[in-house]
Amino acid sequence: MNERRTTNIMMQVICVICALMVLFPILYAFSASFMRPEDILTTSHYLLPPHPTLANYIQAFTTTKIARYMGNSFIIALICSCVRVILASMAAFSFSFYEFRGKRILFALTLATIMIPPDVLVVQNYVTISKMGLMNTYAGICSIFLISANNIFLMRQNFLTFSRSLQEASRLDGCSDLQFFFRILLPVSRPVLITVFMNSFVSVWNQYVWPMLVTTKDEMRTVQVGITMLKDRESSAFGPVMAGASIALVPTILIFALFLRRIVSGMMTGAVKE
Amino acid sequence: MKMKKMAALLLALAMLLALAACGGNNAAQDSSDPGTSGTPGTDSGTQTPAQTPESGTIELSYWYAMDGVGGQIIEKQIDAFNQTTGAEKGIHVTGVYQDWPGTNALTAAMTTDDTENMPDVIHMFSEYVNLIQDWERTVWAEDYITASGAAVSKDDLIPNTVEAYSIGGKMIGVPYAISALLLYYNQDQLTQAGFDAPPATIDEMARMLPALKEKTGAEYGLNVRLDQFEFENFIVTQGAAGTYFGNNQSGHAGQMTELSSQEAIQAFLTEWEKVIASGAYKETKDSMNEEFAQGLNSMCIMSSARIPTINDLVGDSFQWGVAAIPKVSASDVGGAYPSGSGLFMIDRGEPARVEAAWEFVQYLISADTQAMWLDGCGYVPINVHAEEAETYQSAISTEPRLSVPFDILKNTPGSVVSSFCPDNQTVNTVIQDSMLNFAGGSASKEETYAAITDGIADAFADYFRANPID
Amino acid sequence: MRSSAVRIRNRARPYLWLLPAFILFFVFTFYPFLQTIYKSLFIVDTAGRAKTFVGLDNYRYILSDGRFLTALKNTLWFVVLTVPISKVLGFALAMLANKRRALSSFYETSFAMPMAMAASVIGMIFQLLYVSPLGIINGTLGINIRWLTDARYAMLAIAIIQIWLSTGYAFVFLLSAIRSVPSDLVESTAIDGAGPLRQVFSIYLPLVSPTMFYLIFTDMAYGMMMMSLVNILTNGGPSNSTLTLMQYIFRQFNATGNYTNANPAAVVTFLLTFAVTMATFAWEDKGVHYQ
Repeated sequence: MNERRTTNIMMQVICVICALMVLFPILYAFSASFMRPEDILTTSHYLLPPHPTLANYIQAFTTTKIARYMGNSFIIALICSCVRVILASMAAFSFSFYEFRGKRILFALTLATIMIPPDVLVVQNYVTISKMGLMNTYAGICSIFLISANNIFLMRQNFLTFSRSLQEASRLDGCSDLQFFFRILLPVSRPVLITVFMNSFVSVWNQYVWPMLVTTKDEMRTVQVGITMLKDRESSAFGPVMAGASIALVPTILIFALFLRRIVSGMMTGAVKE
Repeated sequence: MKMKKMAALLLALAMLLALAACGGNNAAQDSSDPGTSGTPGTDSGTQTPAQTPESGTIELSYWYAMDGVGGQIIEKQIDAFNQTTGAEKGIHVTGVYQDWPGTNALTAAMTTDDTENMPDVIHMFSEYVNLIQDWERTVWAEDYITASGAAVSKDDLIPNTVEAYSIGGKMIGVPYAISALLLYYNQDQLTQAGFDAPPATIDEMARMLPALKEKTGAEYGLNVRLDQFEFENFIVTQGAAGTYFGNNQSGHAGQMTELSSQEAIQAFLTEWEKVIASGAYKETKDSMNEEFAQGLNSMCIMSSARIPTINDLVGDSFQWGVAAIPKVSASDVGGAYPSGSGLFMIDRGEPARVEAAWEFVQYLISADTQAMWLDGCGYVPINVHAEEAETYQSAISTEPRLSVPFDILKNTPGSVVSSFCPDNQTVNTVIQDSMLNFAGGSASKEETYAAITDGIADAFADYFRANPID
Repeated sequence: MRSSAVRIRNRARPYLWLLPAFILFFVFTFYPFLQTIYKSLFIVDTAGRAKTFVGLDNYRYILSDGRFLTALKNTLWFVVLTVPISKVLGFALAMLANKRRALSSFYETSFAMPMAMAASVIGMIFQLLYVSPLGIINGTLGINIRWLTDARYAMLAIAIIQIWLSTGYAFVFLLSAIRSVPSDLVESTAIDGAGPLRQVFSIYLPLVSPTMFYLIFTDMAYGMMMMSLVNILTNGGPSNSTLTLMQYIFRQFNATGNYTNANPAAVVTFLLTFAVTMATFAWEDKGVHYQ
């Protein structure tokens, strides 16, 4: 028994050391956000601010509308992740529970969207959005983030692990496809839905190029754009940027803290394993 | 379940935020868009900050590509305009930040001729003038600045900054946020090594470097990475009246299609070889500001825009100064070309807007507005009368070094200008890589020369294949 | 048998489930990409308008461009450097964190944190860490490596950041996959005398293979199109040592307005990514176990 306790403690120590190593860049950025410019890059290599200051945060809040930008990013990320969860689960359902003509081709086309360099589509998509009159709107910013083949692919991988009997049993019970999808498949796939939600939220929250391009009004800008405003090309002032990055990280950390436990308790459980 | 409560809370928060944001958005739209109510039947999905004859206020959109302190000063300049001239003449300007180099959104709007989402005035780095040079919506500043009623005339501006934004003698835009390349030197270390003044020529500098490394705490005597900006400055400041980097006066009298400064390049490389041979030269750009401020490098060559930053970083730890970059040959004119960015006007289809845009541009290049740069930035006021402005005088008295680039540019002849170089990104990479190899010892002087001239010729061929000259 | 086949009377039904996704795909991905393919056959002006038809000549042109080939080589090297290591590390961390312990929630969240970071932000953070000689990495380790300005290290430095990012991502997915391995299965092999290492290879790895497949596939595609980190940290230098395919394309059309080279390069990048990722599908048929 004692031996097991020692291993347990040992394992935790190892894990915590690894965790600190992984966290190091983030912790350092957080620390640097409290440093004065002259303390950041020095021969003394300070890990902690020798003269802690809030100046960088004050600058972030006074020179940019960062609260407003966060609000915009939050709305956009929320809309996109909800839509993605719905559309991706529908598409993945079709790919994993039906046999139909052209299935392989349609699935290949879905995957192909992952391989098309997104940056080259930006200008053409700008044309589309501008013709639809969606410049400077949430709809315009969200438009290209509403679907992600990654999510479909992940859900397909998850659905394929379901035992065949799950659907057969439900059919014997007289369940329609729609009922099966909503009453059985989605509830038992909750971990994967949360994963897709979380993943989408974070990735949309972190988008930069597109939201910048389709907004020409300050009040429609997003938080990542705000962070670049805090940069300074001439002074390479890292403090304000690190402050901005730390502020922008708060919602994503909250989302992680909330949802991570749910998904790591078993995403691909398959619920009814035989 | 705790989890559910948390999720509900999060959702409520999200909805609250959404409401707040939507409310804010509508309010902002209403204030900037009072005219749409008077024009029923137009597509309600498009939100044009259009001219509004009813209220008489013209809404202008001004895009700028400057972050940090520079961006903050620009916002102050816009506010000042809106409160003074803008209020008088019924013009309101909204600033829109665009990421460096600020051309992304413009090219996208150009592709579709999307006038609704174009700026009336754009702040753009001179390297990208090629992009709008032949565009039909570009409004050349020439006709406005030479008009009889203009508040600012060419004579009010530093001559070589006028040349820098002229093509064939006509101004396409106006200089705006201009800086000059300078030599920054650590006076304490110079004195310690037995020198009283910064070097006037590259040869002199090369001879000083070993002493700086040996007799002071510095690791290197000099730090500079030679990108196109630094390299071209050393080329164009040669000769009694400057040297054009490329043909057609470096693109200021027609399209630049090839290099025309082969001899000057040779001369520069010959001198620079001495700097490399000194063994006290750092050729990479890591954290130049901080390294200089920590006394790791005795001298470095950077834009004047960094004077305030260096001042903040150095504090009282040592005496330092700025001077003109060393000359290639003692008989050269020296100085620096005006680098940085200008303002360009775009015709969005309404003549009244262009008139209003010119009012705004004039305001931005007026002596008082230009003097505002000195309040935290190292940009050079391009209006010669800026010296008389109170802002200028108070800034210079607290930071006398800020007058150095101003004086340098005023005394450098109009022919010392940067090139309107096709595909400057590739050219920049070619020069940077070649000079790094030269300094690192992996290329000889001859190989470096060949790498630069061949590389630039290739880049131009590439550019003109895609953009043939009619 | 991979999929659970279900015959349904209404033939349109599977297509209806796919419809919303495909409308969006068509409008925002296929349509613009088809335009790119079409325009790649033309000389295109700075405003993106097709001018002169040149057929496949643009392709011949970029494929003989030394920089494009360098970019291709660098990109493949980047994929080779980052994809396997991040998966191995992610799997190792997931195995470490598998058993729930008192501090689990702390280190699970920590391991996953890289997933929450924007590439642009983490790029700036690492820029600060890497800077030579004043950055923290050189300073605390007492070394003097010019991480970002030495052609020998620059790509490695970029790859380290990507490995950091992808490891966090892989960890989240692999941990949940590992946790859903039935415990009775693990116990029964333990009774049979299988050591921890054999358990990893005979139980865990096969059972997490669908997740692993997903991770490798998406990460390879992502790696083939990597740009943001290089744009922030090295801009492709020094000496083109970190020039990636996407950056080559980006540099062509951004600011220079050279769509003539950018369009065919984008198509070639797509084809290469397609070829590279399809190799993983060959593995799906053999090595991925769905039940």
